[in-house]
Formats: sequence, C-alpha cells, structure tokens
Amino acid sequence: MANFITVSSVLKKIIIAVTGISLFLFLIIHLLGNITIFTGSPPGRDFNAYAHFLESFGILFTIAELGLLGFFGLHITTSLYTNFINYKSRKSRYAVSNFAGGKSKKTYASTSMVITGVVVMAFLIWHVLQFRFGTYYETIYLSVNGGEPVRDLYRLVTEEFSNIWVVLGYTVALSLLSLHLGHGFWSSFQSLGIYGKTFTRVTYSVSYLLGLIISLGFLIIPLYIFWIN
Amino acid sequence: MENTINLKLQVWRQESADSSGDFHYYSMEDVPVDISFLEMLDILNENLTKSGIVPISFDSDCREGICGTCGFVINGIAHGPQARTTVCQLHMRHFNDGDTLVIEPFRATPFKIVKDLVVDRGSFDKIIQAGGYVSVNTGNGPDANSILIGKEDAEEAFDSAACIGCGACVASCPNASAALFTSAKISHLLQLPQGQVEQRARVKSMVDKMDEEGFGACSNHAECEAVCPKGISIKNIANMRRSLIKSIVK
Repeated sequence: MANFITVSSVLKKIIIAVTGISLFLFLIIHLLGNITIFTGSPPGRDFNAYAHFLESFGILFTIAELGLLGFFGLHITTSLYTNFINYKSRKSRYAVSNFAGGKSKKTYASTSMVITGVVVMAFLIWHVLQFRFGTYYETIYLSVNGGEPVRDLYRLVTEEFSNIWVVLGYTVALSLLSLHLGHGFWSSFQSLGIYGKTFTRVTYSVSYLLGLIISLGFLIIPLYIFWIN
Repeated sequence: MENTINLKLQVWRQESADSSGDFHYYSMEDVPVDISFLEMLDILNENLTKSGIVPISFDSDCREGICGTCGFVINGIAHGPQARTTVCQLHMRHFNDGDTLVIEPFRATPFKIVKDLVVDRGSFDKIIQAGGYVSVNTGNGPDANSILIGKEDAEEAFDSAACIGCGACVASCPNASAALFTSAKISHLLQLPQGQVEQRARVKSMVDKMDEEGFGACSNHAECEAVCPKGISIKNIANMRRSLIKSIVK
C-alpha cells in the first residue's frame, strides 16, 4: 500500500469518488429510514422500532458505524489534502474570475465544495452528538422488544426540533448539502472514469435535482415537527 | 465606413519572474472591429513605443489559431469570451463600445510569468517527455496502412490529438490542473495500436510528472473544455482515469 500522501492526484480523486458515492448511498438509506417518523401509532412508534431494530444487530451495528466513520474520515481527509495541493497550484490569484459557459460545468456549487463540505462536516458532528449521543429516554411498546423498554429517540427528535435555532441550523446545513451533492453525484462517476455522452449528460442533469430532493427529504422532518408543535 | 469601438484596457504588467506585477490602465480609441485581439494589442504597443513606454510582452506565432503559442485571460476567461477560439483568432467585433477589458496572464504556479502576459509553459514539455510518445526503432518510416485502424478509433484519437498545448485548460481550471492536457496526450496514444504497448507505464509516468510539476487535481468543473480552442472533451480525462486504474489493477 503506497503512502497516502504520495498517491497520485488522480487516485486521490478516485478515493474521494468511491467514498463520496458510498456516502451518497448511505444518505438514501438514512432518508428511507427517516420515513418511519411519519408512520405508526402512537406517533414515533415505528421510528423507535426502526432505531431499535438497527441497534439489535449489536456488534454488526457497531462495525457498520465504524465503517461509516472510516468512509467519512477518508473522504474528508483526502479532500482537504487535495484542496491544500490545489490551493498551492495557483499562488497568484486572478483579479477577475468568471464562468465560461457553454460546455463548462463550473458552478458556485462546484467551486465551493470544500466550504460546503466543511460546513456539512461540522453539522454532522453536531447531528451525531445531538441524537446518537443525546439524552437517553426510554419508552415501552408491548409489541416491540417483547414489552421491554426501548430508547425513545422520537421524544428527543421532537424536543430538539421544537427549537427554532436547531431548525434554522438544519435548514442552512441541508441547503449546503444539496449543493455539495449536486456537484458530487455526477462528478464521482467522472472521477472514476465512467464517461458516456448520454450517461454524463443524464447524470449531470439529474445531479443537482437529486441533491435538492435528498436535502428537502431530510429537511421535511425538522420543519414538520416544528410546525405540529 | 469602418466600424470602430472605444475600449478601456486593464493589463497586467510584470517586469520579470521575480518582480511583483500590477495592473496598468490604457484607453484605446477607434479600434476597428474587424481586427484580431492581438492586432489590437499591436496597435497599443505601437502607441506605447511612440510615447516612450515599454510595449506589452505577449506570446504569438502563427496567428491562425493552430500553434498554441498565444493565450491570456480576458475578463476571467482564458482566450476570451468566444468559444473554441484562441486570442489571435478572437476579433474585436465580439466586444462592445465602452467595454473595460481586464487582461491577465495564464496564472498557475507551474507557469512562471516571464514578462507581462508571457508565461513559461515548459512544464507541459516535461509531461510529454515523461511518456507522451511511442518508442520506435529508427530507420525508414513504416508502410502506410500496415497497421489497420478503425475509422472511429482514428477519429477519436484525432480529436484528442487536436490539443495544441496552449495551456488555457490550466489557466481556466479553479485548481490549475493540467488534467485535460495530460489526458488528451494519453488518450490520443491510448486509442491507437502503436500507443497501447507502453500505455501502463505511460499513464503512470505522465500523471506522476503532472503532480510533480505542481499542477492541482481535477475537480470536474469542465471549465477547461469550455475554454479549449480545440474543444477537447473531458472524456479524455475519464479515459486517463480508467487507464490509470487498469495500470494498477492489471
């Protein structure tokens, strides 16, 4: 295994693409899981059951969590290091910068990947501390876990999203996530060398839309909970 | 009557590689719209010379858009606003009366500014030296058509080979990456049977050289394709990446 730093710029981008597309798939699974927040009676029953179902995998769940952490870590460190190299590659900046248009896919989103990325990273730390390591409430549903108490994550979610500042924070972070995914999705395929005239046109044209749909999907939850309370 | 426009120019002037440069401001009156951008600078230089000011240095050679010698950035776009055009083939009719044009050299750490708008693109030569060729025994040229190449392969290879190495891709890239140039050269040879023999060693060597010269990594902005006077596609960059993966996986 070659030293991480000495791996060529092309391979670094491949690492970023593989981890990026994996994290993109994770977001879709996360989003699908979140749908349970809207179903079940009493409210939150399905959501808590889903959370309990995941935790019931025990050591496998911990391995998955650590794997996810590893993917995030690799994606972030490789990107930051690449960004540092990129910064050094143009020491004297242009007085005027512009967009050439035409075939260019340069956007405000594509040029601010490191900024949106760092904000999303900060958001992620906050999000994990808030819920994964947040207050541990318990509740009982007779048909879940054989009547034994399970974690009442739903209560924590409703409490947190009753705070306007939390909802605003999520709105900002998820908006930036949408831009990050917007460039990231199609760009990952290109970084892996997957190019086709139609394929690239299609992935590029749905990329920003997918980013928007995923972000809105996540954003519905804090907004919904804030309004019903 | 000939159409003319008036322009305000803001040009980067720099004495030498080591000195710090700054912008100088010039007014141009009655510029004929049918002359090229470089001819407009020629007129400016004549006026500067008459006033005892050192004329602006810029590179140019064929002035037909095929040699890749000329090039600078106009209002933040390499080779100016007209797509698939070098500055020597860019005509003043694409500008409006009263425009202010900011003219800067191609900026990238590996492209040292020699003087004013002239930059040293020797890094490109080093990338070519690292593998942008096929090794052949010396002697007479091989017979034509001794190796048959399909029409589509020949066309694709030719599209990649159309790169004139002007450096606009690096200049326009937010990361100053040379991925489009390097990949066009790799891709050109990759698509021909003569080039496939040394492909694995070539792609690794050229990519390593590109990094070593201090170019950035490609973030797929595709701004390079938009400014490229020859319209080289980012498809070449994808080819380079696939080729590099193959050279590692084997």
